Amino acid sequence: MEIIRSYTKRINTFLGKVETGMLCAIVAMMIALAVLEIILRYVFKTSLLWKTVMLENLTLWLCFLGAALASCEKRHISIDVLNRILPKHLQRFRGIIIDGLSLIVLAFLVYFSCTYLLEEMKSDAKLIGPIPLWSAKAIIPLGFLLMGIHLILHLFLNITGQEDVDNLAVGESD
Amino acid sequence: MGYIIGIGLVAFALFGGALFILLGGASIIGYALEGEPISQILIDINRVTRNPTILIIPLFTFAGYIIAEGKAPQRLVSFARASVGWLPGGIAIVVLVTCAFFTTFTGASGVTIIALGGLVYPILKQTYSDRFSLGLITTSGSIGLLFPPSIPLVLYAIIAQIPIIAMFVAGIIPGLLILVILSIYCGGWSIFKRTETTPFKLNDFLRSFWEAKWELLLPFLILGGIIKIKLPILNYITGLVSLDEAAALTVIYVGVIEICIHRSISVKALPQLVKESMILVGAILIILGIALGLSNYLITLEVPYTILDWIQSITDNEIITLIGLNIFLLLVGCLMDIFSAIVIVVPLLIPMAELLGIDKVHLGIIVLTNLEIGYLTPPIGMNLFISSMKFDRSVIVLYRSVLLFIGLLIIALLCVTYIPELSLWLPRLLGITSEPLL
Repeated sequence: MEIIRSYTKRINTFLGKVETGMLCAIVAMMIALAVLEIILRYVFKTSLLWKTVMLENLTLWLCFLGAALASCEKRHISIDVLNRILPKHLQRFRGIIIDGLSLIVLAFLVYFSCTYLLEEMKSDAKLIGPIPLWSAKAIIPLGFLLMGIHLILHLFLNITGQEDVDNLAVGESD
Repeated sequence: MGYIIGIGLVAFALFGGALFILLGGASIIGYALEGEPISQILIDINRVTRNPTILIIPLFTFAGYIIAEGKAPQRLVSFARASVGWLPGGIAIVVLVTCAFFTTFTGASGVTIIALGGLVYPILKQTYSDRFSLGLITTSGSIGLLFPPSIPLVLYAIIAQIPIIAMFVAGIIPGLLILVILSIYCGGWSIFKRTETTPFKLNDFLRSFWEAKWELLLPFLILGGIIKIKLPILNYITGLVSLDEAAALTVIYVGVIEICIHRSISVKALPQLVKESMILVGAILIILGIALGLSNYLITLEVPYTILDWIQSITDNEIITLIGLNIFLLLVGCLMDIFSAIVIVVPLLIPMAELLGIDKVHLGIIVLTNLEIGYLTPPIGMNLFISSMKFDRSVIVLYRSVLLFIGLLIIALLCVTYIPELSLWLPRLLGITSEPLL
């Protein structure tokens, strides 16, 4: 059992690293895009027509990858009033129920975002050059799926053993 | 049936379910009951990124994390100390000003208490009582939300559909008012207790100014970069970049300062900072995306108008309505963190404000000031718990330490609420209207 648990943790960390890597690339692209635009405007008196659409979709990717990473580290924003006063032994039980319910909602979100993506694939709008616009939207189902996977991994750890009872405390946002 | 679902959702939230899951679940159930296509939720999420103001959130947040990670806090504290340390209560004012500067960039207050608390607490303790020091730091954790480019201002502008520049400018005077009121109190306290002050030394002042010059320039560069200031000379060098470009340039600017000039963080630390800041950004944006869809749905159900009717059936006195609004917002502020509060409550308030004839910009400042105070309000204000963890004190000690500060903030709140000019004068002076940009 301990081996499975340690693999579970490793998968979680690995996915988190992949997500972090992609986030770094996107942030770098956003900065580069802005600099390029400024140079083009003031030096070459021209502009990139696709810049706004590109920036919007990069932000969409940031949003979903960031949210997936928040799932990875259990740092989503929550109100979490009662958890602060709940006795320790009930907290693990609470975590299992909340995670289970969350998983159901995420499953729905994955399903509906897939149907949304299929709908988008019918249009032949382009992101840039030959790349179709729907490829950028693929992050929506993918992001929800990643959040679901992280949640399953945490749920498994929580059920099988004494994972540190939600140390998400007051969340990252505060 | 509706009640059972409602109670279930509330219980889910109170027991710590993630807010975006709660909103997502509520939307799915809502659309399913109405027989609407559920993929509408996804269209709304996708639409969020169409808002040009959203695009600046990731990079400004990233810049804030870079500043917090470097040695900027130390430099700012020593500059503030050299410039106002000679005043009665000078050290306390140093803490207020530095924390305000920080909260402005990191957006939310927890980061300030965690990043700065350890640095300023020992300095305060040399002069002030434990209780005063703790109260001041916990309070300082949220002042500064009203200064540009704080993320709560950006979020409000997005949801209220007003130009972000209007909010950026409107927050300045109310923000300063809060700082001044708290500073006067600290000064009075120090005179009363005859605390020591550090004498003013021009040398120290100039040296610390020179060391912190790059950070101190930042707010002016950002505002000057995006707002066209119609004065001779400034007319040509201001307003040259768009908002998203300003955010990107801010990242480059603080990156160069911290990595190349001060060498206080290494390039290797950047991925970790990207990760930390993007977790926050992702967590906010996913809630925003789902909540915008849900609030459109609530508006089609005419929920805001129902609430308004209910309020008007109790009283039609504007002053009493505003007091009610303040109390409601204070409650919201201590229950939720500021981002979720803005996203959930503001869409309900906007239609009401329009009917009551309150300017949207003014409403925004009222909302943010309330939420700022809500952070400190016992029994469950978030800053109290963060300070309690950070300084290892019981929450009860913190309740007692912040009470007086809350009183002062409420005075500021009343001024901001009943004197709209505080928020509206400066935007008007600069010719910025709250009409949506099309």
